[in-house]
Amino acid sequence: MILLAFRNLFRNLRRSSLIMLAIAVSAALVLTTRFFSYGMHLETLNQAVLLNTGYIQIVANGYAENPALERAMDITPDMLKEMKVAGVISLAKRIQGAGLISFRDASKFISIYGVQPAEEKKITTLHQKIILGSYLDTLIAEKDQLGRTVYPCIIGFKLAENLRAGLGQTVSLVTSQFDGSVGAVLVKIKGIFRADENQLDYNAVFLELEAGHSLFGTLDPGNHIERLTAVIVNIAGEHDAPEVYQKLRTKYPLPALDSGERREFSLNYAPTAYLWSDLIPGVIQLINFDQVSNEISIFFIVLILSFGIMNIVQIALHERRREFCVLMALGTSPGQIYRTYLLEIIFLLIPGLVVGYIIAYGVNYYFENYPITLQGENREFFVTNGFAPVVKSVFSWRELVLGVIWIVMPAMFLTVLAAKRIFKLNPIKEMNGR
Amino acid sequence: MLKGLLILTFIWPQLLCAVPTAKEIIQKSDSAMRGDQSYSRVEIIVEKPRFKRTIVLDSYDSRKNDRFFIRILKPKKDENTTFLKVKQNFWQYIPSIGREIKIEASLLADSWMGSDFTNDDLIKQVSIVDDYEHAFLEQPLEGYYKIQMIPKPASPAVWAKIILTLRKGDCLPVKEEFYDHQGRLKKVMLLSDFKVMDGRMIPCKVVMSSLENQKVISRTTLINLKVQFKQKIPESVFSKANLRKAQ
Repeated sequence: MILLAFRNLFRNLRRSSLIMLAIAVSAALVLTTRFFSYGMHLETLNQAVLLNTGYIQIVANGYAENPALERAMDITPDMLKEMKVAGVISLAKRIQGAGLISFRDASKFISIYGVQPAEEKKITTLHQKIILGSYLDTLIAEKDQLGRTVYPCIIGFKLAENLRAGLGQTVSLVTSQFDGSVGAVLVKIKGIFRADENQLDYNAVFLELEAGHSLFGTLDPGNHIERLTAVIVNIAGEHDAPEVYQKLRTKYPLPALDSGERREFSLNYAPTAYLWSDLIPGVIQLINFDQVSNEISIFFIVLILSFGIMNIVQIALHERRREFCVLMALGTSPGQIYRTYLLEIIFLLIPGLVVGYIIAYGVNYYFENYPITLQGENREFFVTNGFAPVVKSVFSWRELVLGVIWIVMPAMFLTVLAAKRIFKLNPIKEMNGR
Repeated sequence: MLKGLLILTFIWPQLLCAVPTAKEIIQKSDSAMRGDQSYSRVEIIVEKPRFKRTIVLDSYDSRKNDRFFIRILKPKKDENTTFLKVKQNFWQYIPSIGREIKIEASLLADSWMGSDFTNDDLIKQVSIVDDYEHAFLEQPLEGYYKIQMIPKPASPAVWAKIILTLRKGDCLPVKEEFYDHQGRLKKVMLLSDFKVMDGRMIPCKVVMSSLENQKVISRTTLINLKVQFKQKIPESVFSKANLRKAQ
């Protein structure tokens, strides 16, 4: 039966090629779509992680759920030494809070970050996004005419636009300090960045850590305590993240909650290690949502293509009905003919999938190495919706397997349905030409 | 005349025993608490899980003209920080940077100076008389009114529900319970130490407690050190120029 099925493929090369081509086109389309979708999601995740979060952070218990200044950790130099477990290259301290930025008549509610520029550069990529001026690490505080300290800062380009403030201009930052007092500093815009991430471009100001402590009132030098909202862990790469995270999580586990207690209001502020996926749940949700809508789109593409394959299979069946009837008249059972026919389709499916994969891989190879960076309105559209403005394709075994399953299952299902016609053939009628 | 006399004979008991509406009681309470104009020197003690601090301030309230002014006197690092509210506008002046900041209405629900009071609690942007629907609760305590307030649809009110317990004699509040949109009790304000200040009976001690999981997690105590209702407050107090003037 297997040999017969194989030989039958070559009896009508045009017909066999048509079926194989239909399968190849379906496979190429589905696999290309999946690789692009995966690549763009990966870019969005990388952007979110490498731009600001880092792969691992140590924050206070409840901070991930309630990122308020009051949930800053009390960190001593000894604690920082303990955080440097095997695999940790360095640590970047951070103090972050909400506040008002004010320039002339305009004021806006924003996020203010006090960072260590030299350490941040080793972990995040924000310093590469400066479009005007310079990053923080080459800048120092100044004194104004009234002797007040003016700290350097960098701000998002959209925030600068909204405030109508530019390089070299001094703006005010006002916030509620750790103990509730009014905190305020003057800052001079020394750099403007374009991160292509709305939360940063519209709402973020970065200062040096010393300025952050002055603003938020989070330094207690007498007790050698520094209040920090996060310690970002520098590791060699993404591949190290799970192992280092496990070590840190063992040292800084998630504290248990009392009955009815909510973590975001817990009175336990112990340091806790978090992986990037716990810190950017919004991005993860966005990607999952997009993935679901992609799967629905792929489903409809596959359905249409599968019906196309089924159509070709039915035409082939129709052309060969007299042949099948002769075989039946000679004593071949409809079941045997049915199974042979299905084997023929499977023998066409395999090379079709291979050809489709080769096409998809070729497209993927090009766009993986030469991704398209969007500009203009397209870029705005992507950024506004939370995605990285890059069209990139990335190969993944998981996407390949899922794609093949997506193609094979509906195609085989519809082929099996179509081939059932064999059982309804009437040899006498067909051979009499009716 | 006879007809009028007859009507009066039958209705005078009802007139004598006329029960005020919930809104009228709230109105009376608000007037009693604030007056048309008032000046007060206030001490505020903020107790949080990780810090405790004391603030002393002067506040000037012109309810008739919808204006409010606060000057912080202590602690030293907040000295001469001022707040001004004129109708819907709210400003803050910060002496350390020599700048005034306009505070948006969206920040009314935020904590004032890290305390358990919100910006709105102090500047009274939301009116408990006009912005809420009032109704008596079914089981009032003896000697007290218990009134439920639900914000009107267009109201900028922060809380989904407030329950006030007021003394029947003078309609002064002794307790306020604040509920969020999930029906959880989030804050309780207790008013006590009633004294006559400048001819008015007012509570001199107000304790606002924030609750989480029915436990008190922080507390702010407000003590009226001095209150004046009769002294006229000059209009210049409620000006932007006064924001920048040091004491």
